[in-house]
Amino acid sequence: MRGLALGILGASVAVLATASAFLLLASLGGVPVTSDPIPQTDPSAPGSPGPALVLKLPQDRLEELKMGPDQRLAVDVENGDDEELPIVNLALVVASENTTRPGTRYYWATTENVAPKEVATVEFEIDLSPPTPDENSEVGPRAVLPEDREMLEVRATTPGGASAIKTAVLTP
Amino acid sequence: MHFSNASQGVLASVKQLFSVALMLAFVAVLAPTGCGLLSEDAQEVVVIPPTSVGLTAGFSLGSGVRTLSFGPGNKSSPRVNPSGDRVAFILDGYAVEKPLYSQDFRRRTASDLGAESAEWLPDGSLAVSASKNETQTQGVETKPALSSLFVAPPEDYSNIRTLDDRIGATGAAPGSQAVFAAVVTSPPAAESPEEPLRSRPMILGGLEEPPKVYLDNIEGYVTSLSVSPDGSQLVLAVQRDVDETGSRATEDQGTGRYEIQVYRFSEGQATSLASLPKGMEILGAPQWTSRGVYFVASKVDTAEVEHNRDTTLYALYRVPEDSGIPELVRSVGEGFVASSISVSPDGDRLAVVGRRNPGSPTNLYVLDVTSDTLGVATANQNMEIKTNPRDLAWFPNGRSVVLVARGAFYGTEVYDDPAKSLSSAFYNLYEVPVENLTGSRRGSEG
Repeated sequence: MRGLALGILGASVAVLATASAFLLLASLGGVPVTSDPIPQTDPSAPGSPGPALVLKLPQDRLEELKMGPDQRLAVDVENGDDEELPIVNLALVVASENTTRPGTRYYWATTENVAPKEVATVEFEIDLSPPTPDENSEVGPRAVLPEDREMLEVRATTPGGASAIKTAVLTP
Repeated sequence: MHFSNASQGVLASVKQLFSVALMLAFVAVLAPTGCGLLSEDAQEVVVIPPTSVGLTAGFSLGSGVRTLSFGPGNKSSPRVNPSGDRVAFILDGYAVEKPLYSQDFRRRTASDLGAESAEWLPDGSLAVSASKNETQTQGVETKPALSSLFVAPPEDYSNIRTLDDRIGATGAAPGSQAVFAAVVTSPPAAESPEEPLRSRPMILGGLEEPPKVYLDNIEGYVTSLSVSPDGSQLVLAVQRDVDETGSRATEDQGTGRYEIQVYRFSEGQATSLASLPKGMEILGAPQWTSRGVYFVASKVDTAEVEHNRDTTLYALYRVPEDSGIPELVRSVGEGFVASSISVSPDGDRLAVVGRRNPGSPTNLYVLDVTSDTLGVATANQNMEIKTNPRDLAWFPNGRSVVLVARGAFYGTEVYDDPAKSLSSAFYNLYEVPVENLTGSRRGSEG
């Protein structure tokens, strides 16, 4: 019974930690700040420590993808830190660049116990087929331009706050 | 440490609970915070990236060019408001606006409008031109292609007002004091094949003001129009569809001839400035400058073009005020391929999107019509600049031009940033300074 209580307590703490990490992440990149200007230059941060989490989307794997269902995409997650990462959460979003087009697809995965400097490979099975037209959706004539590009956005995060992101843009 | 079977079962359950809880937390927290790439309402709010990431290595329009928007979506028809602090544009077929230098998009029309262009009105509302599928009846496209004109109020995009659905062309007066449109007044060809096409100018001053239609007819179909920088006249590209007998030509007889007409408000009538040879097609709206009317048109003799292996199909022409005869503008150089033009607020300069020759990259040039000198404003490196005549506009102060471009690549590009922070990956808006230009510029000017 004591074990069960401890387990539930541990799970709760993990949930809260994960939630906090994502809230922090969202606050870093997702606050609608109307007063912030669009900067003119690209400020770099020389001398900053290397990333604790490194995400890799190898080009050759992306090029093997076909615009259809049941596509497999392997994503590499490298632990750049000196300590083991107990858990790394990954989110993959597949969408068209057309903001009126429905059919954005979300995928999630986790990988555990990634040793320092180790690379873990996580495989997603994704659907890259065009979304079926939804008669009830607000889709205008702009929805079917052949020049529209597809996007795969992958985010990796840890409960400790480390994160990495890659966006692959696929031309038709 | 050893566990009994029961304890191990409990532990397994706890582990499962832990995993499910983690996943639920992941999903629950991710979705509402915007970590997702695009939600259903993503078109309404796109946030500012915390750092400037946009044009990545290998994609550039040159130094001094400033990115005005980020993120996915096909953007077009940018227009800066008279005070120069906001820009309206079309995003995937609907109108949006935003502060010039921040990323707070405000939707101005419904997403299924099929909007093609938006012009500012004095009260902050937008005159939005949209081409809907209704132009096709039972699979047969009606000719000419007509648009609908709407007024979108500043606050409530659901309260859009429809003005007319037989619009041939629209254009804004200097300083966005009004928007002019050409309304096709003759009945559709199917109803009255003998009657030639006629149009009338319409002026729109704001959301609350009723549009005024001038009663004088313009003979022909107005394919595009612009307003002279002093606001005293309209410059019209008019497609005449009459044959030698004066009745409407059939589609088998071709698309008819183009004329450049000028509608002077003081006189209340349109007069022909120049009649183009048959087969010569005007691209976009002719522009009134201090040195006559400039326009982009296809070269007259396509057969000769092909014979000479000259793939230059569109070129820049000018009609001097006193001659009425179009002449090729030589100061842009032999072989220059023009795509779109826009006259500066002072009427002395012409922004030209084009290529030095067919093998050169597309760049933005500025032709000083008073000195007949051409300066290059961008140094295109692997960017695809939109060449639709609507996708080019001056800032009201005449110091910059806004255009639309994206990185030109095939296959796959991988970025280290979220999609909403990328600029070169998608069509986005760029401010190009155009003061003190020299004849050539660093980079791939060609």
